[in-house]
Amino acid sequence: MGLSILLLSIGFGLVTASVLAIAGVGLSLQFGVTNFVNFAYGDYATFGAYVALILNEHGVDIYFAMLVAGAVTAVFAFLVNRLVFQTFIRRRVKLVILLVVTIGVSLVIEYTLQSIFGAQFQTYAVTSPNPLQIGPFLLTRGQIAIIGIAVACMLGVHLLLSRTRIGKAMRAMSDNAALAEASGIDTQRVTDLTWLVVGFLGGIAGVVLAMNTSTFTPLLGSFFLLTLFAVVILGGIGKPYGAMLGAVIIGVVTEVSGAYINAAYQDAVAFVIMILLLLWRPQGLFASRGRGS
Amino acid sequence: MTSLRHRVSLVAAAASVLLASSLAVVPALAAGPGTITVGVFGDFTGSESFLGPDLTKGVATAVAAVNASGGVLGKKLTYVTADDAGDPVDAIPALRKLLSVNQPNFVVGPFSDIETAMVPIIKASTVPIIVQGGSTQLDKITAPYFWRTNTSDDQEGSADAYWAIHNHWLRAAFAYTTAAGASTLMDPTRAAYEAHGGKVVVTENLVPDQSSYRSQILQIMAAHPQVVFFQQDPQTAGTFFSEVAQLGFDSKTEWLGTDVEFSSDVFKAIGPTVATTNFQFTNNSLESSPASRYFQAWYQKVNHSSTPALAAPQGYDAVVVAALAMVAAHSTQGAVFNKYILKVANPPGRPVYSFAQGAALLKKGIKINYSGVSSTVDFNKYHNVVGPFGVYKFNKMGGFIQVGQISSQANAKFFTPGTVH
Repeated sequence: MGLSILLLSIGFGLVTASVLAIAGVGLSLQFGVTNFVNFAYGDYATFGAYVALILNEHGVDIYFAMLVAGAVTAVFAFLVNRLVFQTFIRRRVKLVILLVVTIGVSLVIEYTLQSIFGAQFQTYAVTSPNPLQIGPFLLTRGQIAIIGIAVACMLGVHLLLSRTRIGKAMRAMSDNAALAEASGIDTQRVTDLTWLVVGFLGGIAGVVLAMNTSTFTPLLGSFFLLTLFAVVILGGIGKPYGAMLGAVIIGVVTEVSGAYINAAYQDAVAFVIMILLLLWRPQGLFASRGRGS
Repeated sequence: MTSLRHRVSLVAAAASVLLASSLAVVPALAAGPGTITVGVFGDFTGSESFLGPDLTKGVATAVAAVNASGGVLGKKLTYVTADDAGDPVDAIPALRKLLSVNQPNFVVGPFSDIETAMVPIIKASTVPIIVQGGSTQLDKITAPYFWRTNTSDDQEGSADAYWAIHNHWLRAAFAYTTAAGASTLMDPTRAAYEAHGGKVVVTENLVPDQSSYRSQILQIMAAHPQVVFFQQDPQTAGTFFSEVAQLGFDSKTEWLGTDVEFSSDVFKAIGPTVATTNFQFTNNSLESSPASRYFQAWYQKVNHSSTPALAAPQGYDAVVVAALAMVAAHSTQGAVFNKYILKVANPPGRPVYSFAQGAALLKKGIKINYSGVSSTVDFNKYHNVVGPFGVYKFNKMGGFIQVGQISSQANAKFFTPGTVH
């Protein structure tokens, strides 16, 4: 296997990592603040992809459609939390029941999208000009845009968490929700805002994922979710910065491994890497005591 | 996790149906005593969820054509769909429910992904089940109510190998998905290809519907094959070929697909630019047949598209053959008309290419031999059909241009029996 193929694979890995990072940070942030695993998260991404599809089919530029899809998905995630998850949380149900509820929500979203749009695949109307050679990498303009969007999202999340009161409150809740509440933090408001951010990132992730795969169906997010969990667990559950690093590792490793071993095992490689790293560092790569990020 | 998802899936499905009920459309007429019901059994959900809707388009075309000719024995045809979800666990109860609740006069489907799991039900059936898959395990099944209007993967594989060797493409790569329907086709293709002097230089097994296949494409390109055999569902093909285009098509490499690529969905997924490059595919379809022209006209009328979806020709032929058998038998009862399927489909008899033509001759007491869109629909003693195969390319509008023909005789000589089963 030549060096050029290795470098090309790393370039493609960065694109995959970008998609994983946007989604992974959202999932990790949500877990950190709310402390439960949301199996419907992949379907938020799918929801966002279909919102953008509707707009794109009406002639809206895909990048503007992406922003609108992010906003709509943010409201959607907020409403699902308020109307469904909070109902169960208020009743103090066991976490396993909440987990099953998230699976139920996931299926409801999948089937509803399928009922409306059909099971067939969809595509965005985007032009695909010739790829650009950037150093050793060969990337399309769309892929360069995906990397740029990911960088912008990561920067935004960083600024949110480090420079704003609400971000600091999110980190405080992530460390200890009871203590945060006792300290006067409005935890309901923080939770609501977290879901808005999570939904926004999920919606954006769905659109860039759909752009990257060219075609998508209502199962888009479901296929994606398992790899996303690997990203989040590798980085340290509930640690958004860890998810960023996890995304880079999983994205690059899966793409590069595909150039050396049978591609059918690509996803398995991601999980082998995750298990090996967790054996070395069980708390995840980016976990630090007493910090929310 | 999968089983957990299954447990809550029924509740979720019910809830989503409620949510979407105002938008849902019921595709078929309600069945009644004066109607003949066709059961369409395929993948409407799951990773190959395009198969069911594609098959339904062919069935709907035939139903419209038959009804426009006055129906069968004074009764109109209608159809109901049932979802096998691409999973035997879901498919077995779904087929049982279809047979017991909807009580179709015959069933069209299922596909390769679950067809072998359905064998016990097919063997116990008293209504014809006209299967649409290609699994080699059904090549020599002995079940009176089993029929298959799609050719076996053995035949398709040898046709693909024949075309490559015929064109002196002696270095090959494989880019098949790991879906059941694809993996059962790869072995016969490889066996026939290698048995006739071809060399496989790289094999990439593609997990369907992944977000990227670039590394695998690089592997293929690095091996410099003259031909890449591939079978990919439309969604996978969309991702795969957009990335092939990104990495640059090698003008010296031909891409030879299977019947799965003979579809408007694939054209839509990969786009006209890629679809009209070095992209060919084989299909057991008789584009030049009079039946095809008749089918095309009805397909356009019913589905508003000039390019048939995957499995639509085979589904169409299944309905027409069964309808003609009913006319010949003077009965819509599966147990009665089943025996007449061979009589209307196989020679000897006057060649006919549509239901209307066949029904008119049958009423005059003339023996007929239906020749269809997907093949001549001549069944062997195991109720399987044989080629010929056409080789096609896409034109810029998504239509098909035939660039070659592989006769049943040529294919039979190329076939390497016993290599895989």
